[in-house]
Amino acid sequence: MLHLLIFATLFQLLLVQRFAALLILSLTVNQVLAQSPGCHCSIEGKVTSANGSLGQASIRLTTPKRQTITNGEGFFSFDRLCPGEYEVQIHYQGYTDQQFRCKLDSGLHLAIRLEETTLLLEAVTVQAQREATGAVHLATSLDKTELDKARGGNLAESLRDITGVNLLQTGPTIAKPIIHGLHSNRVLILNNGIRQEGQQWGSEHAPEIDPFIATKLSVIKGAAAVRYGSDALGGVIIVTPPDLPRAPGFTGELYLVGQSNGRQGTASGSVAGYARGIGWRVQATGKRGGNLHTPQYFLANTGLREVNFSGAVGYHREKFGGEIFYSRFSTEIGILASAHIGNLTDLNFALQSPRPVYPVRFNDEFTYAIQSPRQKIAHHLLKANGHLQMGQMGKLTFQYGLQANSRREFDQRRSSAATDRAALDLQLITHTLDVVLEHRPIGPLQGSVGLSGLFQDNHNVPGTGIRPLVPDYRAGSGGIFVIEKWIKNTFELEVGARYDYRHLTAWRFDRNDQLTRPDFNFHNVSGTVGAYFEWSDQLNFRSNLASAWRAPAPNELFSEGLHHGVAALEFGRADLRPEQAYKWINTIQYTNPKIRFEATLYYNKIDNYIYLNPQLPPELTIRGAFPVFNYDQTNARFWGLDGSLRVNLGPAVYYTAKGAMVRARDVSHQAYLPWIPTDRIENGLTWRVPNRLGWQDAYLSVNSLSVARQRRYEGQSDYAAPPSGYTIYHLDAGLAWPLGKQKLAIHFSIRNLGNLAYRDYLNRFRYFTDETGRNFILRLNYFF
Amino acid sequence: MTTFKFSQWAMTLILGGVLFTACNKKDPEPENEQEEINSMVVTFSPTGGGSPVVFSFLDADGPGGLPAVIAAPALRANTTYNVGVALAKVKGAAVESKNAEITAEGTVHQFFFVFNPTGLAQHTYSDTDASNRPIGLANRVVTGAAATGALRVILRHELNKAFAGLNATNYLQAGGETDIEVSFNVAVQ
Repeated sequence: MLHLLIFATLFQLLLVQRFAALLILSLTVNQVLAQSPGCHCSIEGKVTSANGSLGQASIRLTTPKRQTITNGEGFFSFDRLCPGEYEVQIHYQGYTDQQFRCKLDSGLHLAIRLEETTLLLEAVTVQAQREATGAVHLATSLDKTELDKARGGNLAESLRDITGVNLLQTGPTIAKPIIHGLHSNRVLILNNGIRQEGQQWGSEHAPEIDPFIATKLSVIKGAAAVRYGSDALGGVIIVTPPDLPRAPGFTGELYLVGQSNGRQGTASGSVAGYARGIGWRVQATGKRGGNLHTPQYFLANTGLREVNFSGAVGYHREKFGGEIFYSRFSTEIGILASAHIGNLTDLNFALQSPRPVYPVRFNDEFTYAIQSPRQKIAHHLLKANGHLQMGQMGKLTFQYGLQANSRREFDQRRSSAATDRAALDLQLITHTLDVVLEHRPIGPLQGSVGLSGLFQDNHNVPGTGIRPLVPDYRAGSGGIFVIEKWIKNTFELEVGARYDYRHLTAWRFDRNDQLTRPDFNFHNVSGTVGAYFEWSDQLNFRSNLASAWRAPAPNELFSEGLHHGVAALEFGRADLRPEQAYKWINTIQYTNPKIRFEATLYYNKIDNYIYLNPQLPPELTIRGAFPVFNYDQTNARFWGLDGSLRVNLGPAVYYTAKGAMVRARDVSHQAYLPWIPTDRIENGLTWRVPNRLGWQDAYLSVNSLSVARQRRYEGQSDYAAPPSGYTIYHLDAGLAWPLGKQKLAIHFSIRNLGNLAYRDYLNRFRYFTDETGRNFILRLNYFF
Repeated sequence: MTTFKFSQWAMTLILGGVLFTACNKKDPEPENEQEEINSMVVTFSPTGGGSPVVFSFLDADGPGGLPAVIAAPALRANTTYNVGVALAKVKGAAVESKNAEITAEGTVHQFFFVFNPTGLAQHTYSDTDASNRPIGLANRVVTGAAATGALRVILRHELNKAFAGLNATNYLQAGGETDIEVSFNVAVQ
């Protein structure tokens, strides 16, 4: 609903010439308008040579004097810089030094290429990027290099490399991200700046986003509700597509991904260009997969098909600019055949069966065919955004988003003739509008005020022959916020406040099919206060206390009846109040040439936490006995710790470790909450293979993931005890060949190297099946 | 002051968006529930004549709400009954039979009758599907000596009816899912 991230951008094209005129730097400065200049500019980049990236290269800034060394992959960064002109010097033994000046007014990304002996006229591409968040909120990101190594998965799978993010799965084909123990409506996803409005309330409703559109995926683990609006109780996921080109030319990318498990193939490509002031990009992805397999058996009906495309055009001048973006995501996903159960007897039988017993339509063999139960989903996004420099006032940005979401779920029905009739057929239309004015800095004070509005219409397409799970409804909301930052060299303080209003009207039939039209109004005030301290270039600390809220979702208000996937009767409550969260998050970061370390400690107090409260006794229906759950509210507390460590063991070898733990309690009833991620730790060893035979960026890494058994659960709210812990191993390798201006990269992975049969607590289908077995994945990336 | 105008325009759009909620939305029609069966009637007609004994399960308002009404009058000991099963959706006075639906897709449906204790009565099927396998809408039950116990009537869907030795104790192994499962307390007198 309320979301105020501004992606409108301003571009400047500068040509800066180096002393000897041997080097031409084309400098593209991309200023994100939610930021204004202050002493929190940054310069980051990568140093490469003809032989690949250069680790241990020295980078110096003069006035103020700052110095750093590139890491093993050639990356470096300086932050907390004031705007102004900087001289950058790059030194690496055996290579010609480089030195150039650049003008900094927000953030810069430098791609620096060093030449071995002869000096060549070399174009250096300089791109700038900067988070729309201030330093107080840490956005943990996966950049393009990291994403490219793992392309082909769904959005949640792409995010799981971020510490503190877990997957909530419904079988092998549906996954949702969990941030610090919270998911679905408690996590906000910004797709290209627009808050994703799909049918997010179900755990079997995956985000309707093609991860191939992203050049960067970021996660803000704090409750960044003041800036982004309601629902951001656990955090915010930001999907950022690449910027449109600002210089004449034509570029493209092609990705081909094949995986052995499910014989899944994915192809994705994009081309982008720029002519007469207009930058453009078109992109498309196709994916097809068949039945996946565990180490022992096939998972019947776990195929999927996906076709996505997007296009964007943009026009930018110094004083104003605008872009239009359209994307369509469409998928058809099979649901594991044995997971559709008639009643508790069926469920108990499934729990006791060592392998799934499929309905007679299905076989324990490979096929690409998808039958019911299945989901067919389409999501359209049309976005228009613009920005305007308003002289003394500052910068004004606006964006409008139109989303149309269609979700059709085909169930196993009593009559085979009706199987091709959707059992759930929902159409959700959402309009969002955000306007932000970022005022000119007043001394060390920077800030912005913004307004946002949302209008939403949910429609049940008639003809399902089944009473709808969520009724037709209309929702409207509006919000207003102000955020101010006080910025000094090594210190930043942020204070913000927001007011939100939400109205909901539902069109709902009671038990006697009489139409009722209940109305709901929700108000909320959110606040945030945070600080960032920098002790040195190597050590910094940030702390943020923020509140966030979430209005009850329609399923929580109105559910009434059988939820098939989980064999339970669920009943909503119309008098639920909004959830109110207060999240305190602290992060410490330490970096030196040998070690990179980051740790996050958080505490999240959620009042009026909405959950399914088990009721006794089970209810007797004509289908047999079913457990009964009522939506209820309690006070919950989450706290946890996650951290990552990277140690360079030598010039070409490094070790990585990541770990996360979450503790969650229902403090009113002194009970554990269900579906909380278990403790986990990942270890990895990477060898950066030296360049030879014309290849570059070669690597070989072995990683392990160890997940503990969940011991913190309540027996009566789950059908089966949590599965035991496990350790699985993955292997990844890759290399790239430059082919003139083009580049070919190959990545190869084996997941679940030992073909271990295991189950994961966070998979809702753990009652029915093991996780998938060994998977060989080959990725070809071609850039031109 | 173009800038001011611009802001005004933006404000108008936002307010407009919120005010949209006031517009009329066409009232939806209630969905004609077709999946739900809420009534099962099992009629025991003595082969030797006499008035039938009728077991019934009716959950008029579906899952949730009021509990189901279950009736199971006593059966006579050592008696042979023809047993018919009738499934229906009952809404007020309207009764919509679902038996034809089961018969039409007989090859993927089968009833199972589970007596507990097993000596309470013996069950055999009297009907067949297109593949000459039983369905269980028509049956024969022979009661044993006087005793009390329970009868579970189960309708399975998409089971493998060719499963070797398929019977009321191993039907879960044949796959599929439960459409109906009703338990009656039985007295044989």
